[in-house]
Amino acid sequence: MEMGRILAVCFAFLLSGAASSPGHEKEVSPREQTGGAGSQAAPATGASDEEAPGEVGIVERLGQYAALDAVFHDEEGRARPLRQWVDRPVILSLIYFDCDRICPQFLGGLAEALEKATPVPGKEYRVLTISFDPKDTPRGAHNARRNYLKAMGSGFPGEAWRFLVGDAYNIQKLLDSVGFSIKGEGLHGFSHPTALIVLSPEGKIVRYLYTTNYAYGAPSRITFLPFDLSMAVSDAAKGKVVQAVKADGAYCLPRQSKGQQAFFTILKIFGAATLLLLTGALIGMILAGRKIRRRDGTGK
Amino acid sequence: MEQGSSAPAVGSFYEDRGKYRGVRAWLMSVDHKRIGIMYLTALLLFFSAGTVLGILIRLSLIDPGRFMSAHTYNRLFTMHGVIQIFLFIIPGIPASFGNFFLPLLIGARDVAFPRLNRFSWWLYLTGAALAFLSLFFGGGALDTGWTFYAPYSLQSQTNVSFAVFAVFLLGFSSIFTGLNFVTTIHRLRAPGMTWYRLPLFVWTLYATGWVQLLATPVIAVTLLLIILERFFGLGFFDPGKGGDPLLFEHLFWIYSHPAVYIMILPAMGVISEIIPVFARKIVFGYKAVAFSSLAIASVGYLVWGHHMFTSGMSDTARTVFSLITFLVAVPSGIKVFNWISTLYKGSIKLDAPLLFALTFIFLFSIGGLTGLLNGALATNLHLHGTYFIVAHFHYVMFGGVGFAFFAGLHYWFPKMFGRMYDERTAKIGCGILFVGFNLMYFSMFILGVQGMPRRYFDYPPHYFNGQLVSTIGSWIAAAGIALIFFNLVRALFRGRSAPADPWGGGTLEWSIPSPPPAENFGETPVVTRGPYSYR
Repeated sequence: MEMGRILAVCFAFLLSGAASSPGHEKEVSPREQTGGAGSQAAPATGASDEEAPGEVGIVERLGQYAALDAVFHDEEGRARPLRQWVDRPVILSLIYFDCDRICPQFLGGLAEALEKATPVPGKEYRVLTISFDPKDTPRGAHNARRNYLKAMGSGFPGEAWRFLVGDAYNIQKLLDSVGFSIKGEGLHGFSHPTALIVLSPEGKIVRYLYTTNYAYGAPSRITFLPFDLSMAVSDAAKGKVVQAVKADGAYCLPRQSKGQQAFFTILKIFGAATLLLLTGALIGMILAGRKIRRRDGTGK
Repeated sequence: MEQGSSAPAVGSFYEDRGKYRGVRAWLMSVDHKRIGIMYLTALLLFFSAGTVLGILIRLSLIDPGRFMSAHTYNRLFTMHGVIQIFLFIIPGIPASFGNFFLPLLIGARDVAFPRLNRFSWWLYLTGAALAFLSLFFGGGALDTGWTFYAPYSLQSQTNVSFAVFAVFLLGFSSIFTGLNFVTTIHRLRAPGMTWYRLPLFVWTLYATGWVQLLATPVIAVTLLLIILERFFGLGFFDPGKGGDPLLFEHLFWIYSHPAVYIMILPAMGVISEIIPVFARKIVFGYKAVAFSSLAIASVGYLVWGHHMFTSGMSDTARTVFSLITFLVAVPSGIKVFNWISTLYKGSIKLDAPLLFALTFIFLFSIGGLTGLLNGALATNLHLHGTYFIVAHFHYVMFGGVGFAFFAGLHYWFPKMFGRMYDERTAKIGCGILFVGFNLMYFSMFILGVQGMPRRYFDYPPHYFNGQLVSTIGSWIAAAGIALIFFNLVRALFRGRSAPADPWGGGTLEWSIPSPPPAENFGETPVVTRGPYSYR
């Protein structure tokens, strides 16, 4: 993908057809104008226009309650209401297991920070990762859990990080209750926001932790501050609601927008045309030059 | 080749004004020599202006906040970059020495399209004038850095559109010059001037011409996109509208890295002309030097990503870009080794042009080798965005192209103006500049390794010593430049007349009087031997 794009740009020697812009879309709300790190993460995934980012995002529901009656399946396929797992402060992340964009980096960053956070996992808090893809299975949840626990080393108790899946109805119920809007993208993938949601033991939404650091080239591209997690957990234990300072974060978008693809097609056409034109000029000059030399009798 | 023994009865091109008088005799002229002289004058003016800005930047850095505000500082380093890059160093050697000497070196009367040449010059003038005007209204001087990176260039309140349009015009000036030179070299070579009898400066102009033709349209359109985005809000580079700021960086460097070779290739050409003359030896490995120019020009297209190692690219892309960057160092190395081999066992005459050329080799080698450090992915991640980068490209551009420009100026000054300058003063000037240059920029290497970020207005106290040394260096370098200019200007008025061939050069331009007559050659020369075969 990346190389494809670079190749496309590589041929962009002339692109006067650029007038057909991808940017004729409707106004976007302030939330979509990702500031700070959000605007760094977005380009890597190809930001959207036709995908209408207005439909994708987070409306904070601080102080309200997550849908604890929504039913989910755990890694062994046992169905339980969400309440089952929310009996102490919970760090909730919403992703899908097939994601090859930001989700794995997001969970990787979370895993790294959890190792360094001070509260005792499993005892003082629990981590829940719930897939919003109804096609995801308990087996996928099992594999994901095994991977991330393995990456974290032995210190982290397996019971403290649970991976859940559910059906479309229950997923939507949960998403609505926490203010997440996502959008399925055709055959594969979702456009969705990324943030950690912290719940109190009663299921009250006390804090949203956004992904504000996206470091290209770093081993872990998304990082959370262990201190933030520790604070969030201790606040959640007291049921204290905390407004996020920087209410914005990265979006995970599974594909490039159509406008961008058209733009690169135009680049390719004009680039190729320029190359052809200049090659033609070169051949023309070489041939004409030979004619002159023959006439002068000064050629080799 | 007919060596110029008998001076033709006609006067120099300065006396032949055509049908216009006064300033118009210059501005309306299609004579490549007049156009070259006008470019040279303008270039030196802009170089001086850019240098003054550079000195002010350095001055501010020894006591941040005392001499100017942070915003003024941002504007200063942006304008310093814009002027030195777009108005001086990119057009630099091709527009001045290329225009003046390309036809002379291949035995032609003029370039292939003299009127197009004049149009290029007018575009250059217009671009320069617009860049100057942009300082005075609509938000004033830019503060984006010379790279105009999105989103700075989209969000800045300064006069971005106007200045960017000026650069757009300068780009077209460059394209037309490239087209003109490539065509001239193909079509107007004197009888017997085969490809392998071309002076090496001509080879570099040829390679440069193709780079100008292929790469410059990309920057032209990129800048146009900036203007469209600013005026009409089209979101090419705005992620909120489906664009991508990284796209700007890619497009910008697809031009701006090859542009580095637009700058350095002709400089290498100048050096390749000077060294054989003052070593009294045929150049070592003519074909290797000639083809290395083409190699640099072609491989140079494929390395732009090394400017963006920390901007966001896949590891595969970064590794490939790093590897190709190493490859491009090979032809540069070939040139350096060939120059040194040419000097070996030559009967060297250390006149000012050679002194500048040797300084070029020394400084360019430092610049080139530190370029490898930057091109290596692992070290780049640490050095990116520090003073190390600043030092590296000043060694290449100022230490390389700048010194080659001075070398060419001293080498061809007698031919262009028909006067000899004072040799001793020129050498002293070169020495002072060399000392000042190294104080100024070598300390930046050290500051960079210590972690001083570029473009910062202020810094923690432990960087002060390095900054101070660098600033003192800037004063010494400025004194050197002043002395060099003073010497040349004095020579214009007081210098003794130059003979046709003061250095004993073997190329065609030395076979005609200094300064050359309007028609260059009394009759078309017939070339029977290579450019560097000496008696």
